[in-house]
Amino acid sequence: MRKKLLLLPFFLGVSALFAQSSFSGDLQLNTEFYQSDSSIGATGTPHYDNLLSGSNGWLNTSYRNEQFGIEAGLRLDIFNNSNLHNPGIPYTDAGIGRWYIKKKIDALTITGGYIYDQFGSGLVFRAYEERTLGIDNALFGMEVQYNINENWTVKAIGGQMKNLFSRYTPVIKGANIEGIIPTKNQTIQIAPGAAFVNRTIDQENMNIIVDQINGYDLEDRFVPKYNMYAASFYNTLTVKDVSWYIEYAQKSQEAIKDIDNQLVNENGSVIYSSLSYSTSKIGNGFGITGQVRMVDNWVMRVSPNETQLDGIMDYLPSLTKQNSLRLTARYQAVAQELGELAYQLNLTFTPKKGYTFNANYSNVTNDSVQLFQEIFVDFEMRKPKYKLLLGGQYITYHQEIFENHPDIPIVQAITPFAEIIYKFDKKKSMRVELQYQNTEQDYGSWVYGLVEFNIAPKWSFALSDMWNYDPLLTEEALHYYSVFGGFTHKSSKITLNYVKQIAGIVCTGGVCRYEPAFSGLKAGLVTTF
Amino acid sequence: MKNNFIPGTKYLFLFSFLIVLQMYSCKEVGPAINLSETDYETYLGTAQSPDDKVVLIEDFTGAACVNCPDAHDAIALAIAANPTQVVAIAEYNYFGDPLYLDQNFLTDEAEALDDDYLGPVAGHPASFIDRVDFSTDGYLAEPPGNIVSYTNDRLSEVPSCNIVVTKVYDDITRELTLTIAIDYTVDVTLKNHLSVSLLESGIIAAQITDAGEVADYEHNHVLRKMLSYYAGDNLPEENVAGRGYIFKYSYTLPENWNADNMSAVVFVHNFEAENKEVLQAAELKIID
Repeated sequence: MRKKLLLLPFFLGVSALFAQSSFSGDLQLNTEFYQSDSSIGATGTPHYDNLLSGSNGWLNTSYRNEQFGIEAGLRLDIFNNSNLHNPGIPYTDAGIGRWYIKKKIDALTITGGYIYDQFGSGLVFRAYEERTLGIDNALFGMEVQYNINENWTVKAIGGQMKNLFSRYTPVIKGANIEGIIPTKNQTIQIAPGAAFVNRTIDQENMNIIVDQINGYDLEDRFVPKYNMYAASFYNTLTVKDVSWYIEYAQKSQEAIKDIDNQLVNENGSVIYSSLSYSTSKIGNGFGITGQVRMVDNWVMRVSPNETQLDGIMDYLPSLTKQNSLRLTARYQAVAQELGELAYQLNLTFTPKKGYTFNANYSNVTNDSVQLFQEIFVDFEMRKPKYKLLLGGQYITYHQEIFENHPDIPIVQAITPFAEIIYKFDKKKSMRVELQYQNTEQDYGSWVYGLVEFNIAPKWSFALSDMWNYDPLLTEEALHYYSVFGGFTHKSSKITLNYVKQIAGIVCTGGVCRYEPAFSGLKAGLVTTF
Repeated sequence: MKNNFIPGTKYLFLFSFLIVLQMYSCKEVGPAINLSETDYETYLGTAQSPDDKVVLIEDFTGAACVNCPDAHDAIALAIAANPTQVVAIAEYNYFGDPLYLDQNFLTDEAEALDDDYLGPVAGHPASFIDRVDFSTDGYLAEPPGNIVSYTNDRLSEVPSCNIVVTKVYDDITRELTLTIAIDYTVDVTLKNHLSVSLLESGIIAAQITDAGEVADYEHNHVLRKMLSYYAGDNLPEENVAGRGYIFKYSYTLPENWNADNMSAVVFVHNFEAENKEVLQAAELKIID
């Protein structure tokens, strides 16, 4: 009895500990089954020839204890013949994809492990994960954040960038300060910030760079730098309904790859600004946003020996509208890190409740060569039983530069579209999409149709077809169809999708990459706990 | 309301000042890039028959390196077995050197070869036999035990080019002029470079051995200077059979070098990230 009484404080302590803590997690599993289809170019890789399937899985867990100011996380990543990171080249490995521990001590927060964070808008530093694009550039190291006062925060970070289950050898360190300057006038707010990053190349990477430079003609040789320094200064000014953001970033001279894949010694800069106004006093709502960005040699990588989406340290998204409809999203303006001048104007107007007009114009040039132009308008009508969307898009797209296909014409396309969502009752609804794209370049013209039927909260079914009815690159008018089914139960969702998918640029959050054609079955499971 | 304007922006301005200071005040020593090139003559003629292969042994070594005499002995054996077909360069770049300040055999070229081109090596001694990757693992250096056998293997190779070196040396001015003729015997598609080194042998100085410090050790084939860039000078023409080059290099020997014991070692090698193979080498004594 006495022994049991002695154990009582222990159990009471443990209960108190867990009473103030929480444990949570999520699981994401994707599996693809490959079915060769030479008519759409989905053939001739190991996945289609003999592997026949590939899968990716992420099991994420986190523990939080508010009383002790502790947070910790652990994530298991599994890739089995995965086609995610380098499409066409299978990758198999498994291990701890991320772990971290965070401790808050008064105004100081210390984090160690794999860290996701960014400075400002991410121009000089962003460590993030985007699974659909195979991006996971967490920084393995330490971060210290200090709240100077209620309005100002400073943080410092240092480490090496994640590269699947290893790390890139170059070292990255940086610091960021940002805050809010409250004013006597409550309608005016000023939120400035500054960030600094230094990247130091390792000797092995430098040896590769030196070997290349020494092989160039004499006039093209230069002495490359081990260290790259980048800084950005930014501010958000809010005056009543108007918000103005401006950011200027500059980086020091270093070896970067030019358009011909030759090493050159260049510094870089970015100027970005956005101005927005929104009010509920005009009609039922009015908003207008303008953005402009000028990029000059803004290559932020762990070393110039990395290409495409490998080793990127920053976030330089496309400054054009991110379209979600299938045909309007076919031609995406990938941000040109070597140089571009881009601007975008977006207008939203709701004259009365249930009716909204959107208009968007974007334009991207480089050295007075027009790379991309888009005019987009749509009208949305919302009624209790249905929602109707009508609109159209016109684009010009410099496919030769964006997709590195020499000597092909600029794509010009007009795409009208319509979408209707009809609610039969509280649970059942149907969505129908119709899109038509007219173009005399690339693959030619398309018609797209989708029918989706939902039985809330559990079931969702969809049939779609993207038909190249007027083909210019294939002999037959091919169909790229999809049959989809999804089941949701509480916090879990299972999906099955039989797909014929065309090769092309895929973008998420403004970051893009090329993906080859796909034919087969995609199965997915997402659950949280 | 507490006015945080002044205290807050103070931190911002201080931070910004530190950023600008950091970006514009830090200097670094960059890697060695060849920013100059040697003039040459070139011609296309009839392809010659290939001469006998001359194998090059480069030895990363040091006077303070206790195990390095093992490599010195192995190299001496390899040369003794084939004195007209084996040449060696001792490149002093051991971390513990110089053993004494007045006995400094370190050269910038040897250190650059370790830092930026052939290395970095895992330890000393590290020997390169015609810069061939015998283990096919990307690491070119070999231990002393492999020197003789790999050198013998390389003797049967047919060189892609012939090298003829002639010299003019003025004993009074100590000015040396080397004329190097390279003639390709077959077509070569990989990038090629030419390296030219001045060596001195018979230097009596201290050496750490496993028996302790030997004060009167004989140091041979010591690299004194490279007249070409450390990674070689470019042979930029289309190197087909019959291609010929003539290079001239001039240098005034310092007074403390013994010209009687000096030689020039010249070699043509591949200059690719995955292939640095020495195609042919030649040695010429400065004073006959």
